[in-house]
Amino acid sequence: MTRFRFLLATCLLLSVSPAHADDTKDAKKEIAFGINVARRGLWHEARFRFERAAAKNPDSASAFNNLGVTLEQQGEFEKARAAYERALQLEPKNLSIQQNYDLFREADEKRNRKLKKDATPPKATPTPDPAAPIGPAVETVR
Amino acid sequence: MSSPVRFLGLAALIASGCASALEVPIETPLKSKLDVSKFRRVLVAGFVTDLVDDGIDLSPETSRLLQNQLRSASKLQVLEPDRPPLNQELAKAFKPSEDVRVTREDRDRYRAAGERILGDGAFWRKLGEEYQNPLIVTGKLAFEEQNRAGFQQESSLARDNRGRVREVRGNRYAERKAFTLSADFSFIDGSTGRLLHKERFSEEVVYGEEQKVSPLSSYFELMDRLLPNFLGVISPQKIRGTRVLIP
Repeated sequence: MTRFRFLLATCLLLSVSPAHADDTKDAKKEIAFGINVARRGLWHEARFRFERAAAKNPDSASAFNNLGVTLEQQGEFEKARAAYERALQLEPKNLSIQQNYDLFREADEKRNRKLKKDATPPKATPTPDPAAPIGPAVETVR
Repeated sequence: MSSPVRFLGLAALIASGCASALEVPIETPLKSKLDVSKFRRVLVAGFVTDLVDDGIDLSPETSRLLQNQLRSASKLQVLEPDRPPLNQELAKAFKPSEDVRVTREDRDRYRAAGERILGDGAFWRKLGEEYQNPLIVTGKLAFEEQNRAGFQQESSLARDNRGRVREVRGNRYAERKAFTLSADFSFIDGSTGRLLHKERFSEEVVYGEEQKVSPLSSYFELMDRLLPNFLGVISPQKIRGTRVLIP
């Protein structure tokens, strides 16, 4: 039994490589720094930090969640969606990520509804005749 | 380890986790509906309204309000004509009948004259030349007061003979009035006289009998609701919200 325990401990130690542990630690540092700058409104810097954190530790749900928030803030909605979905994949039971994702989807639906409403362009003639009366137009009823 | 100690440890761990998650305000950008990058100026040219106003001089009031809003929300230089050009043209085009009273026919003729000017590309192009090819904002406005008095369902709680609380439902006549504001905004390219975009907005507010609100206050309340949508046509807007950052 003692020999088995010793073997198990050795395997565990070997599986956690020092390089991997360093990356995880670095990722956490990047995330902490990213949060610090995000709360000051420096979203470009925050994005850079969260991207680095996600690259260093691709299993970090918080890195992807925070990246989703910064991408959303910057108007890159498709990338934000992918980041939130990856975060949820990594931590499906995390309520904060779920809440962010739900709010994101709600806002995205609103945006898409608005865009859909406005999608029909006004009928324009290729060479406008200034003397001609104004043609039919888009009518968006709220 | 005893159960209470374990429980306290777990609670502390959860509390520390919750406390470190940070809620941050975010503003997501929303593009403007119309690309106005080719314009340097904007002219609010006035609006076609009803011949009889409902206590408000709708066209100049709205023109002034939009000019103020555009000055702060848009990068375009806001032109300020002495009188809304559309209304000047309308005054030339429409001659009221001799009768002192405004007839239905007068109103129809006035509306038709307004529609004709709104659709007159040559007029807008000429106006555009005069003001150095601005983006022209114009359209139709209607502001109405409506009587919404009627029976309203209401319920209250009352005790019966045995002292039990019961819900009592009934109908009550209530004096109510509503104000509605409908706006058809047209955005015209001053260099060609061509319509770029047209959009209709409609807002309504209902007041109870105890609320004494003047038409002018109501108009401003309705315009206040409508303005973000109007501005969204020519300037980018932002949607505000909050999200959680996790350490």
